[in-house]
Order: sequence, then C-alpha cells, then structure tokens
Amino acid sequence: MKTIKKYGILCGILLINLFLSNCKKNTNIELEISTSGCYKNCSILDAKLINNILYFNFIKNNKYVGLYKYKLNKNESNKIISLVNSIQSDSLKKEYTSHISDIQTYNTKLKYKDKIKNVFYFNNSAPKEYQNLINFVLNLKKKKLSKTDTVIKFQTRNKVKIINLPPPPNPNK
Amino acid sequence: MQENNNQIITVRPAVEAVYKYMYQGQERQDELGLNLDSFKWRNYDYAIGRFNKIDRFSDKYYEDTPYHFSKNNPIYFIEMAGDSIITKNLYIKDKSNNYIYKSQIKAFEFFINTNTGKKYLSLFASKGQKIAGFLFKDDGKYHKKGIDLSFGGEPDGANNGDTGVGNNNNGKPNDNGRYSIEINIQGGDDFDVLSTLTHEIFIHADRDVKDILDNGILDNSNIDKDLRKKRFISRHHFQENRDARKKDGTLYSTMGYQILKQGNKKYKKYENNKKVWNSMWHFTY
Repeated sequence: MKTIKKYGILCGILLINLFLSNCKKNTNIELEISTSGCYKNCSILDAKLINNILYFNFIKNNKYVGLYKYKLNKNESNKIISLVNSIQSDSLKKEYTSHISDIQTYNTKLKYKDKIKNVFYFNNSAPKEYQNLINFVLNLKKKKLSKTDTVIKFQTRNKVKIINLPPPPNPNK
Repeated sequence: MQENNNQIITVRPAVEAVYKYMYQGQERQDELGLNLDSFKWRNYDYAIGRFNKIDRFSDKYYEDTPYHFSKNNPIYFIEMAGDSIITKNLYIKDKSNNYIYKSQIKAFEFFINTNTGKKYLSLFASKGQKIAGFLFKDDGKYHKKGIDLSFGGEPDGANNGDTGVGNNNNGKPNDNGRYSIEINIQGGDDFDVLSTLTHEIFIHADRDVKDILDNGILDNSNIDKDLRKKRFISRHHFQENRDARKKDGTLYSTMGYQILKQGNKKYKKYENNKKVWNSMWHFTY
C-alpha cells in the first residue's frame, strides 16, 4: 500500500513538473507587431507580447491613443501556444508582398524556442497559420485594457514608418 | 371544364406557367420549337452545345473557337458577357433579390453619370456595352490595348478600397493575354464611398494602366526612380502628391476633384470645397 502511495506522489510531482514546464514554454513566446495604415481608416498600432502581458501602442484610427496593457488569461495563452505550434516556422519567408495598392501591411517579430522570425507581409499574403496568430493577438485589443506608463520599445515600427505629407496646394478653388 | 349547351368543353390556360430560366440562369426560348437559351448578345443551342453567332469579343479569346460555350468547360467556367468594364461583382443580389453593395453601386452610378467619369470609363468600355443606362458606342483605347477594368464590392467597413492587377495572377495577364485591373470598395457613408472609388480609379487603376502600357508589363516603370523603393502600397501615393503639385496637376487632382465637388453638392459632407480638397489627401504614405 505504502509503495502505491509513494508511486502516486511521484507521478503527481511528475505531472506538476510537466505542467510547469509547459507554462515556462509559454512565457518564452515573444511577439512584436507593427501595422501600417491602408487607404483610409485601418488601425495603426504596435503590439508586444512579453511574459503573458500584451502591450499596445495605439497610434491612429483606434478607440484609444497611447500605451495600454492586457494580462492574458490561461485560455488565451494556450491558444497562442497552439497557434504558434501550427506555424511551419522553417518555411516562413522574410517578406510576403503583393501588387495590390491600398491594403494594410504588418511587420512582425516572433521569438519562440530560441528561434527568431522576422516577417513582413501584406494583408492576406502570408501563410494562413501565421496570419491567424497575428490576428488573434491583435483582436485582444478589444478586451478590457489598462493604461500603462511602462516604456516599451517597438523595433518592428522601423519598417512601417508613418509619414504625413501635406496636401498639395488646391489649383482651382 | 365548362358546360355549354349540354356539351362539355375542356378549357386550358392560354399560357402554361413554366419556369423558363434554366441553365446558368438564362431564359429558354421554346416558342415555335426554337429550343435555344437566350444569352445577352447571342443564343445558345443546347442541342449542339454551341452558340449560333460568333463571340463579339473573339479577338480577346483568340485561343478558343468563336462559337465555344464557357471555354468548352461548362463545369469550371460560366459564360460571361465578356465586356471590358466588368461589374458582375458589384451588382450582386441577396436571397431577397436586393443588391448587397448598395452604397458602392450608388457611388459607381454617380461616377459614371458625371461627364468626367463617363469620359474616363469610355477608355475601358467595349462597343455596345451598356452600364447604368449609358451606352458606350465605341471601343475604348484601353479596351483595344487589352486592358479590362473590374469593380467589386466588399462588406461595410472603414470606407477602404484597394486596387490590384489580375489579383489571382499576382500582376500578370490572364490566360487570354489581357490584363484585368480589379477595384474593390467597402460600403459606408455615400460621400466617402464615392471618394474611395475616385481615389482607386484615378490614383491606382490609371497608374497601373499606364505602367502596363509603357512597356507591356507591370513593373513600376511609370513611377519616379526615387519613389520605386517605397512600399508597394505607397508608391502611387507619393507620386500622386508630387505630380499634383505640377502645373497641369493629375487626373485625381483635376477630374477627381470635379467629381468630388459634385458629390459634395449632393451629399453635403463638407461645408466648402477647400475641405473637400483636403479630404482627398488623407491616405497612407
């Protein structure tokens, strides 16, 4: 009887360790996204996921302006893990472009299991699995967010700069 | 049955109510034993699986016989009218027979009913094509050069739009050798949808046409060299802002502005033309 108990305790410890190691893997996912504008009113923002906290820097055409954060719950963390695992990361290209004018572009950086993937893509041109991950993370902006003063650097913004040119002079008023 | 002077006469309805819209939704002509399906420009003889007249666009589909039906592959293709301004993805109806993309159709019909809009679209039209009640009497310059212009709607959103060349072929011509420029417009506020349509036609579609025509391929050859490095979605925008500052302006800054001034008169979006002008330049660079 005692041996069975000991064996049970051992199994329990093993299971807990397995669970904890899974949680640890999750914290290793780092994702950074910067979106461009499109023709008119696409949401321009930066997002960064570190240690299950998602930071948003809302720039233009959003409900908010400025830096906000959101703590992911277990379901959301697990969903992100499964989305990341569905990506065939070895075959990901650095750029997916398109000849279509006026659509939104995304510059992203994914760090997972010591691998770093930088992917720039035009909407609907990257592999579905990768876009599903990005869209899932971006949709979390609809959750209840809290304002933050944390200083966050978004490296992905460099490739999708926001330029404001003044209108040309009106030739015939 | 009726009884008349003790005689029984059988009365049949003069016209039997038979549903006549058969294969690919075309009306079956069975009077006098014709047995044809009536398509827009010619009739299809389903007994022999051929049309009874040649395709008026047979030069566009030179690889097929001029009498073929659906490229001889009716399972994969449907027979289309073959016009060079394609609106089948715009005039789509729901199950209740209502148009899905109402604000986009409204904007398109406003555009085509302005003198400038009509004049510009006539460059793409094929002889005999009728759109929104307007008949194009001649083949347009771009139609003759092998370029088609297609309009489509997208669900309501943020008044966005996009333009691409042969979206399924990633900028390459179709199997028939013709380029298809495809404009998609989201629904929304009437003036904004018109503004998006004008933007897509004059800034993007027109530049794509000129890019193709100058050397036969889509390669940004009509964009200033220093701007070709810009992101693909932005290169036309930088070029437009630059060209609009030149003496003669651009199609967008002249014809486009005229159309949007007229649109503003109707929809009363902005208090004055200065605001209309400024609204035309709020796009991504």
